[in-house]
Amino acid sequence: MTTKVTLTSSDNENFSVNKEITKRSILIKNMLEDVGKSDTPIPLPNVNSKVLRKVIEWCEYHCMDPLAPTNENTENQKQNTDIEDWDQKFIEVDQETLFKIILATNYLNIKPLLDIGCKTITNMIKGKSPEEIYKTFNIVNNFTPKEEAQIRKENKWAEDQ
Amino acid sequence: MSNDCSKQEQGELSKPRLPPEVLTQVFKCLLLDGLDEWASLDVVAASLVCKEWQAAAEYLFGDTFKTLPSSKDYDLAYFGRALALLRTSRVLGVHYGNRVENIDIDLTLLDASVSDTLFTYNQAVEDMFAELFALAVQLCCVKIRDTGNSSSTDEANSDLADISDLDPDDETAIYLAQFYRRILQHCHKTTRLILPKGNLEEFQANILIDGLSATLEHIETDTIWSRWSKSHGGLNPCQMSLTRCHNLRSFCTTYSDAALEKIIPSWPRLEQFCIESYHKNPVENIDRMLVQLGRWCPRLRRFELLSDEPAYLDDGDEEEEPSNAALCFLASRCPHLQYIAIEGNQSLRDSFLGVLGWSAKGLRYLYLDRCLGLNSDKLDVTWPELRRLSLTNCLMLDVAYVRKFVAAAPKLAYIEIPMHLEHLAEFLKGQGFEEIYGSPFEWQRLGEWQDEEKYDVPEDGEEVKQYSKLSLAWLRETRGFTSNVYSQ
Repeated sequence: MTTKVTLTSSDNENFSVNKEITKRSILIKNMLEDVGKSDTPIPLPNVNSKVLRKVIEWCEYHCMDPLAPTNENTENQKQNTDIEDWDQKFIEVDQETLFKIILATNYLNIKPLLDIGCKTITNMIKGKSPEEIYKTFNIVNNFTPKEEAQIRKENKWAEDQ
Repeated sequence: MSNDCSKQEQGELSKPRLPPEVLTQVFKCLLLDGLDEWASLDVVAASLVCKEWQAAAEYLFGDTFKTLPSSKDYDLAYFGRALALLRTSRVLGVHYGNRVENIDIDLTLLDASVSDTLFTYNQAVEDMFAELFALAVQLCCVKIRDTGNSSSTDEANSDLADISDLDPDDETAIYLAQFYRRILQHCHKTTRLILPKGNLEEFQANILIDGLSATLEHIETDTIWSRWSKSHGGLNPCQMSLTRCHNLRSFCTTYSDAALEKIIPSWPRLEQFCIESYHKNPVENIDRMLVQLGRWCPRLRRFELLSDEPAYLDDGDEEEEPSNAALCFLASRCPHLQYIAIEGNQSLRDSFLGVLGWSAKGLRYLYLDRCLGLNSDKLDVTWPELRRLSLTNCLMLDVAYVRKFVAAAPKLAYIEIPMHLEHLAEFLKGQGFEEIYGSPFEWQRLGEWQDEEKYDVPEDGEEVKQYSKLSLAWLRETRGFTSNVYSQ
């Protein structure tokens, strides 16, 4: 009986992972159920090797955790502001990697890791002004940029009050 | 410049973006994480980052902007941040200020002093409120609160006399007047005013009422009583202001007041009239007040005369409660009545129901509590539209009376019977009713349930929103005229 599964990242790097560990991902779990007994590598075209390595690291550490319920009704139960110490250190990565981990976990459907990513973003937003937020995330404010100056000029009276 | 822009855009495109479902989850985390109103401000701030974030946050806003400041115990830091976000949204063309319907003013914030005795006016707070009013262009309701007023938490009428004497010409009053005049410039669509408990003149409420008189449709107040000297025609300045609210459609007060007799003729459009506790400040002319209501307010749809006094009163008290004759006159002159609630009235007789059934064919809700004068089953009226009937503690009623009432109301969906008629259960079951709330006194006919809200006067500004631009311009002009006259 095969206990290992091969995952192929978008940059064609193969990762041989314990089957039980990969079941942290609902996507992979469903795929394994669909293909049955097969040694064919599972392609993950949306996840590069760097991110996949991180995700596998998280799954290996949390392999003994109970599987997260998939029911939407339990959403409120999992909301907790704190991030555990190990997870906190795990998620201390540059912003681009953080976003890619979140995208990967969203794609792979690993809810607990997605929660950790979202909470990390949440902590980066708290108490900040819109300007501070888009500087933090280096996002271009696309609210009608050409008209913004004009609107600002027209509404100067409101700011002056 | 264009190269910089395109480079920036390219950089943006090359970066991973969070999909909407992930953004929504991030914002949900923000909301669930916060224990106070600051959490919702975090989501508002995030929504102003870019269009994609705004679209994701929009789904979670709900009533975030409906009432500002939304926290009951808001502080200046919270207020300042909320204001800054509204300002930014306006600059970015999102205009969250347009969604503000209610502004809740805590007057104690205008006092910057640490001491309880000295008043130091906080000009910065006035500026903040003025800006909030300027941004809230669709504002419907202004609520004034005074958390520092000790009487605001008390209920007994005797507390009214405990309010400290403040000279209307003192510094506090002058500052308040200045504050009101400033915010009134922006209240073009304000139709509802909720006033604090206590002496209205202490809060300079007359200035507010005057400034809003052209558009005001709903007023909620504790009292219109004043301890200061009366002026024109025996009315105090606040009461005089009320006589100028010709568009008023709804008036709710906790305590009755003799002056209402003189004010009511100024409200020909009144649709809702409510006294929440008429026994606590009994007035001798309450009959004349009801007659005025019948004479001048033919559009009345909702009438409530409530009291939390015990069912059995002394004979002396009966003299100061509305007489059956006055209530009969009111019922006969108001054919549009749909909702009637009367509590603790021993004078009410079956003849009132006779007149009501004859006049108000559209009556949908009838709530009579502790009306001990109802005792005859010889009534011969029908209630073609009656949906809800409550006869709580009407202890003189008998089974035949209720049976006849139910038979005369084919659309009755809910009935509450007096406790001593518990044995009506079989009859009600036979009529298609079922017990609700596990109480043998409350019965509902399945499939016929009607919400109480349906009998309310339409909510804030519904009609104002329908006015043409021309009408609004006229209203603004009129309002401006009123303010100008007052400031002279």
